[in-house]
Amino acid sequence: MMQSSSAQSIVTTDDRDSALKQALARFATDASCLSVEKKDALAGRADLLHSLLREIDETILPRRLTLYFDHQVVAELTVSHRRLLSLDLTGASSPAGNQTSIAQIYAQRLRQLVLSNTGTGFRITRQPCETGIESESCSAKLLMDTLAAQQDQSHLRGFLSLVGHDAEAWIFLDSSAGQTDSSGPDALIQRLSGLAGSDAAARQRRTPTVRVPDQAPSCMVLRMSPEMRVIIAWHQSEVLLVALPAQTLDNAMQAWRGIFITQG
Amino acid sequence: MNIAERLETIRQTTPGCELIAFGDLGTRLVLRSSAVSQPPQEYLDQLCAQADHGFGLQDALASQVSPHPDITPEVMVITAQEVRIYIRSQNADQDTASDAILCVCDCEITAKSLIDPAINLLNDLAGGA
Repeated sequence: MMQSSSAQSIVTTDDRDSALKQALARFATDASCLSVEKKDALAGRADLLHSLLREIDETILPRRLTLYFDHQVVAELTVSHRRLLSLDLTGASSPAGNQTSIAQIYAQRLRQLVLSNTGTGFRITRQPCETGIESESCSAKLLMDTLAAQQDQSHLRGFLSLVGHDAEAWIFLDSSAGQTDSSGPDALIQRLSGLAGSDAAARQRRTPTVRVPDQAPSCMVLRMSPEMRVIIAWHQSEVLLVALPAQTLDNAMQAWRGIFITQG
Repeated sequence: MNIAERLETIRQTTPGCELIAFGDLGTRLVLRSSAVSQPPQEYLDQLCAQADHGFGLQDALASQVSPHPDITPEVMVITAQEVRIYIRSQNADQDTASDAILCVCDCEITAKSLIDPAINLLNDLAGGA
């Protein structure tokens, strides 16, 4: 139990002495405890995010960390001096999206990893490695702060941050704030705008006695062409329309579920 | 088999299908349904209204390009609790253009597996079977 709580305290405190003491205490524990941790991870009982952050925070010498879900490699991380130097997701496009800092990009990829882990076990292996000329890195502490900040943003903004990199175009509307943001080619933006207008008009026409359960978050999948889909997601006063390739739809649905089912 | 029996058969032979209904989008009324546990009428009406809304948006999207593409037969909706798929016929005439099959399932895979049986049912109904 002590080990599982130490990860969070390590990365959320500035007291480096305390963090060092906790890390030393963890390393000094009976090897059977570490074995139990590994078994918990393999059985899907451990917290993936905390495990990764702890690995980063406890790594001084350059190491390449490989993350497995069951027997499949899903990510590779390069870590040194308690900082994350690189994070590559296997079989997924590397999102650039709207993120502006390396911490935001890594935090987004970590969230994507956590969302893609549907309760299956995981395993992290470590190998010594050379560090290249990576110019950008961030600490576990900064990663945790960034993850917390992303959690506080609107759910649909969070969804957009996960699928924006796959999107050909998107429009975000917040009627309560009178705010509209968009990205993509003009032609696609115009089509999405037209669709948003049709949606709003239909909702205004709807009789109050026959209501779609608007209060609950939901998203609808429409076909724009054989190769393209449009997702319309509603939550409270916000609407997000995203045009994206059909082959990325499953990932987008998984992202939506990750946000709205785990966070409510 | 009548409509109710066809709906029952589709639901029972599709694991993960919790509800299947035949509705009229014009009146937004569910006319027949089969469910693991019978939902309140208001819920069925909401499904019908949402299907009508979804097909309206799908048609609005199609109308933006010329020539207009073929009618898209399905619209899928994901909620925190369930996956809904609404299916209409691509070959409906004036009398059956408002017919739709409304399904509630546990996941997208189940939902997609219901498209073909639902279209077959709609086509049979349109043909008077």
